[in-house]
Parts: sequence; C-alpha cells; structure tokens
Amino acid sequence: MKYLRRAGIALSITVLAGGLLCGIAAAGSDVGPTATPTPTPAGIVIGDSAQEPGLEEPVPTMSPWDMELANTYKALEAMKTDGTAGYGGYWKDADTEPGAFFIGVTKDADREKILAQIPDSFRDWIRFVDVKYTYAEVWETYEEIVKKYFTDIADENFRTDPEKQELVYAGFSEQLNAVEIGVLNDLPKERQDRVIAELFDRYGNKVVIELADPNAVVIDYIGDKEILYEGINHPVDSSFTAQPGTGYQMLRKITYADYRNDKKNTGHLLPIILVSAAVFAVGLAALYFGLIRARRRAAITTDGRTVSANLETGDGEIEALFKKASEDVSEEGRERIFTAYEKERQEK
Amino acid sequence: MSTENNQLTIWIRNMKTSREAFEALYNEMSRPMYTVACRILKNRADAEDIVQDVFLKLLKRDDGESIDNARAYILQTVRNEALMLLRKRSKEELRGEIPEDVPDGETETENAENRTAVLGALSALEPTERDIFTLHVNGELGFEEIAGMLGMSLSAVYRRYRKAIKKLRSRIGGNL
Repeated sequence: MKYLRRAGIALSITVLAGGLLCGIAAAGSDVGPTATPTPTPAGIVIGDSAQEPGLEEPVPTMSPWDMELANTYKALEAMKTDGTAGYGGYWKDADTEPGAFFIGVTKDADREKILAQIPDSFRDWIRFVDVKYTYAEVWETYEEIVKKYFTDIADENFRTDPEKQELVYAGFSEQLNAVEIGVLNDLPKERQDRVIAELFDRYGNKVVIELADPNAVVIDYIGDKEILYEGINHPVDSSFTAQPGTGYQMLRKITYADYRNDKKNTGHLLPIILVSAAVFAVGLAALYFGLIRARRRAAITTDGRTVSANLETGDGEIEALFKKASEDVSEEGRERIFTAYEKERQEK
Repeated sequence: MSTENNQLTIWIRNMKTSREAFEALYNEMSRPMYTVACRILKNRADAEDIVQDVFLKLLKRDDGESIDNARAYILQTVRNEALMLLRKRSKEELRGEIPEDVPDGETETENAENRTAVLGALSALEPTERDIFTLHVNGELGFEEIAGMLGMSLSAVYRRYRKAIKKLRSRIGGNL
C-alpha cells in the first residue's frame, strides 16, 4: 500500500503541478506582458465611422456618393505623388451609405493646402488623421517593400507567381499609419510566419500585415463604378474597375504590437512549458517507479517467503548466509527433548 | 493451507501416537524453532528449553483444535515462550550475550568465522528487525504471517525487513 500511496501522491503532484503551471501559463497569456494594451495608432483613422475613436460628433451621411469623391481622390492621389499630403483615405460607414472621408496626414503635410484642393461641397466630410511618420519615411518603406517583394511595381496588387510570391499587395494604411502588406493566407504556415517575421523585424510598426484570402473576390460600387470592397486594401481609384479574381479579402490584420506580443507570449510561455514538462517528467518517473515498487511489493505479498530475498538483495546472498547460520539443537538437547516427549506420551 | 502446512498439521496430530511423526516434525521444525529462540534469548540452553516446551505443548494439544498455519503457529509459540522467559529473567543479564560461536561438532574454521560475523551483525539490528529477519529467513515465514504474528502492518514488516537487510549487508560487507 505504501508504494501505491506514493504512486498516488506522485500522480497527484504531477497533476497538480501540471495544472498549476498550465494555469500560470494560461494566466500569463492574459496578464503580464500581454496585458499591455495595444498602442492606439496616433491619429486614427479611416474605416468604420461608427467605430472611429477620433470622432466626436456624428458623421454626416452623404448619399449617394458622387463624382466629388472621385475628384477628391484624384486630388489626393496627386498630392500623394508630389509628397504634399499624407495619403488619401476613403470612406466607409457601418452600412452601405458613405460616411466621412478620412485623409491620413503625414507629419510634414500642410493641411490647409490639402483642404484647398478638395471640392468645397466635400470639405465638411473631411476628417484628418495624424500619421506619425513623414511622407518620405512611409513612401520609402513602401517603395522598398514593393521593390523587394514584387517583380514589378505594377504588380504590387496582384500575385503573379504563386510559387515565388508571398505578398499580394502593398499599400498605405490610414488606419494604422503604416504600409499595409497583404500576405497570402494560403501560404504554408512556416513560409507565412517567416515572411511576417521578416517584414516586422525589418520595418517595425511602419508596416501592418494583412492576411489575405486570394480566392475571395469582393466587389462594391462607388456610384456606378465597380470597386473592390474595403478590406482588400486596394488603393481605391475611381478610374479603376475591378476585375473578378483580382481582389483579396483581408481576413486578419496583424500589427507590429500584435507581433511583439505574440513573440513575448511565446518567450514568456516557453520557460513555463519547459518547467511544466520537466515537472511532468519527474512526476511520471516517480509514478513509474512507485508503480514498479508497488508491483514488486505485490509480488512479495503473494509469495513473500520465496520472492522477497531476491528482490531486495539482488541475489538473496544475505538471506542465504544467515540461513546457513541457523542454529541446531545440540545432541544433548535433542536427546533431552525426545526423552521428554516419550515420557509425556506415555503419561497420556 | 499449503501442502507443507498440511503435512505439519498431520505430524502434530499423529505425534501423540507415532514417534515417527514426532521425529519428522522435529527434523523439520527444530532448527527454525531453535534459531528463533536463540535470536531472542541469546542463550543456547534456554533456547533448547523453549524448543522442548513447545514440542510438549503440541503434544498436549486438544485434537479438536484446528491449526490454520502450522509453521506460523509453532514459531509464534516459540517466540511467545521465549519472550515470556526473557521477561522473567533480568534483561540486563541476558542482553549482549551472544550464543556460543561454534556449536557442538562444528569444526570448520571458515564456517566458524562466518558464524561469528553473522551473529555479530545480527546484534546490530533492533529487536523487531531481528525478529522479522529471523522469522522470515530462518523460520521461513512469509511477511503476511509475520505481520499477523507481530501485530504489525504488512508494509511496516516489509520496511523493517529491508532495513535489516541493509544493515546486515553494510555490516558484513566484505564477508560476502
């Protein structure tokens, strides 16, 4: 029973230790380093107007979207090209109606100059978004990425060679003040992880990764123009008419902060996992030996007389030695005992 | 009941009328009985007295009284008698006395040396350890039987037995 008890205790310790460490590990994924809130990008924001933290008043609705939008785009595109503006955003609201028009403004942009180039009727819907980099910084990053990862800058939005290409688009993110990079969602996991790590390690928070599904084609309309729907992060151009099969639906956005937290979590959990594994191994070993002992013990219990010696001493040499040293009744003693026996038997 | 115990029980029953049965019982049991008594009393004469007393008690037994485990029964009786005698006498006088090194008729030097080493090593054991070891090795009792006899748990018996083995092994060491 003792060894069974020990085995039980070992098992309990193993389970408890494992549970405790897993608990710590699980807790560690919610507290500690990971509890650090993801920094809100400075000056958000284009995107869902209902969710924009920068807005203090209801966004006016403008419907239908008209050619002024296209004109605004054109103006912004021009400003982007000559470095005057940050980069142009585009609209979206929670439903299908257009909302505000957000313009990402780089640190060195002249807001008045930008506004002056936007049609009067459209200015009330403009929301500026502060970008923490200069236009040159963002542009350089963008250019570098395109040159490095795309065969031709004209191919930046399309995957031309699925075997060689890992990125499917590159563009500007007004929301996160970074270069958005579409990484194929259908890449092998190892390859996907490698390219994501490569981008973040090189460009830090100047980039944001979007896992994109190459099989999704999402079409929406601006006026009577077909465009790729938001989420595919295609630079919206009023002159652009999407072709079926050229869109990539963004499935998940990964920021630099997410990436760092993931790494921290992995680094944080690794020692715990290793310690847990070690404790678990020790527990298993204890359990194993406990059971072995219990089994031996059981064998002895079954036939303690014959089995025990060999189990405990290896070859029973101690027992053999002491058995050999058993005492014999002396001859005189024997005679005396037999005499007493005869006498007693006769008396009975 | 084992075959051996069956045979012992038959001899006990028949010894009242058959000297052969008594002789067979004596030949089988006198050595363990005497050894157990010797280890407790550490005195040969007293041990022989105990062996004689126990045989006579067996002879006087009521036939209707059944014995489940004859070997354990006999050795327990020996032990009880020895302990009673031990209590009767001064413990100071008896303790520390080791039975004569060489029993009658033993002349081989090597055996005599071994015996001295063995008995000396036994004196290093605690009384209960010595009891358990002797009952198991010389008395050929199983641990369950010893546990029942000593009123101890099986695990306690086994633990003490292991302890005894370790002590004896370290004590004897090179003689093995």
